[in-house]
Amino acid sequence: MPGRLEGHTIRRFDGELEQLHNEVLEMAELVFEQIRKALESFQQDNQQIIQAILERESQVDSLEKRIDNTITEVLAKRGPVARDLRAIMGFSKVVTDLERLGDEATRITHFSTRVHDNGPGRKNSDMLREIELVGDLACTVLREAIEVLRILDITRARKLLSQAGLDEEFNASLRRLTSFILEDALNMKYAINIILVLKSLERIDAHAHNLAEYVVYMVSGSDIRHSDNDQT
Amino acid sequence: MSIASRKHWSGQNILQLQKAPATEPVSGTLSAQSDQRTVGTVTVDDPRIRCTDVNVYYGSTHAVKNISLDIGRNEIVAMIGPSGCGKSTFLRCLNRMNDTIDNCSVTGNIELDGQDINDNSIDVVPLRARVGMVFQKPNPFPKSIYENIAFGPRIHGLARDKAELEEIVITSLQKAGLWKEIKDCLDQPGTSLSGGQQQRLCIARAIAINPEVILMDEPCSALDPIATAVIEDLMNELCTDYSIVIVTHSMQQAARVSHRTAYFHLGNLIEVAKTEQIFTHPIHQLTSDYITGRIG
Repeated sequence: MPGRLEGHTIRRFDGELEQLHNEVLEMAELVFEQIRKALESFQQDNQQIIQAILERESQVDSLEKRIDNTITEVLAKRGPVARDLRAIMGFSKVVTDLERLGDEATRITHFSTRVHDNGPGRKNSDMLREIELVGDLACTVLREAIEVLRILDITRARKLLSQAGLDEEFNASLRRLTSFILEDALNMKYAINIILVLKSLERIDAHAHNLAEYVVYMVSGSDIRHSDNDQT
Repeated sequence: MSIASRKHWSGQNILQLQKAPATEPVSGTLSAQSDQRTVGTVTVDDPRIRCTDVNVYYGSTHAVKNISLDIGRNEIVAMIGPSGCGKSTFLRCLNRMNDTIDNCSVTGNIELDGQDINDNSIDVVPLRARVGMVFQKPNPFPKSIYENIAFGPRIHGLARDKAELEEIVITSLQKAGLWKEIKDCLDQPGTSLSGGQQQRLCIARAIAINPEVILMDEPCSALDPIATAVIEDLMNELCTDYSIVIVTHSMQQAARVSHRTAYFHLGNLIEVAKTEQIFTHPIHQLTSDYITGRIG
């Protein structure tokens, strides 16, 4: 059931909610691009890409502040209730997760710099493949979460949430990386950086799931966060 | 603030409403095309007022349609809805104010403490003492402040002597939060007070005759935000002793003061639920559209 933000008797309220939605999507796209570029930077030693990512980090931060400001204004002016209130609360939560996603992009970029400092090699390239593999999965999930956020579609949000996280892939990669370390202890430093990147990708997947949970709340009013814990 | 934590609110009557529903209600899922049965629990344990299948007709116009709703003890119930939806008409049924309208007829059952208020044996004068009313526009009598309060207890024989009457006047003004402001000018005309003070004078006048229920028909619509805040705070205090039913066009006021909110639409009671639920995830589409300002 797609969510509906428009239809107010006061049309300006429609415009304000649409603007808020667009600003959130703009931030989501920027963050996605940051993560994608950060992962690309492992495949080639491209200092320009890394520099661009670090420079655009401030754009993510200023978007966060701009959206927070829009939310404050809408709350003050319109006194929203029910689905409007849930939408605004949801966007506010989404922005926090997006900002953290941006931080993950920056973190990955820093690891990319360290990995390249380690120099090329067959083993290194095998280990980098782990990032490519898990990175593709994380990006696919995040892309879908942003799409769910764009159309506020509760059915697609629930479908995304029903899919398992990246735990399995992460653990499989960890096993393969361990074998590289056992083969040659000199791979240790390199492998640790790769593992930290994989951990970042796991967190990206978790944030993407959070986005889908917020959409469920915004559209239906059901708070399904921590539902696994509730059942225990 | 949750209902349970609200000052002076016992929470006893709405325990049944707090039970988790069998299936999770999804906000706004009942459409306008759904049948007109009320969404939510209309009954409470040990109600002060129990309304069952109440209908009101103005001549051939069916203004209130099959409404069932309980008002709990020490509970504030807000009734909201667009103009002409029947909320004020329904409110006026609760102390038979509609009797004064020639072509108005009321069917169904309304019980106050288990007694049918429309029974032929019921005298409306003591009924209206038990179910007091405060109107949109403050309407003090053209008498002194003291006489405004003393009038009701005197005609209902609630005071044995002058000292007792004075005690009632003082207590009522204190309960209405007006005593400190006007204790030195009790002989001044009631009409000389500010709008907010006049409205509190009317509330004091209503509580002077020991009501069980206070009906309020848009009591703050003619008041500024400060006077409104004082009245709302007063309502919170008063619900320790009385049940309060308020009709309001201010959604924020309903959200601020009431424990339960009832949404009316075209004479039907569409949805009734804990106020927190109504204003965060209402079940019926009509409720959602109204409170979010999506109604034409």
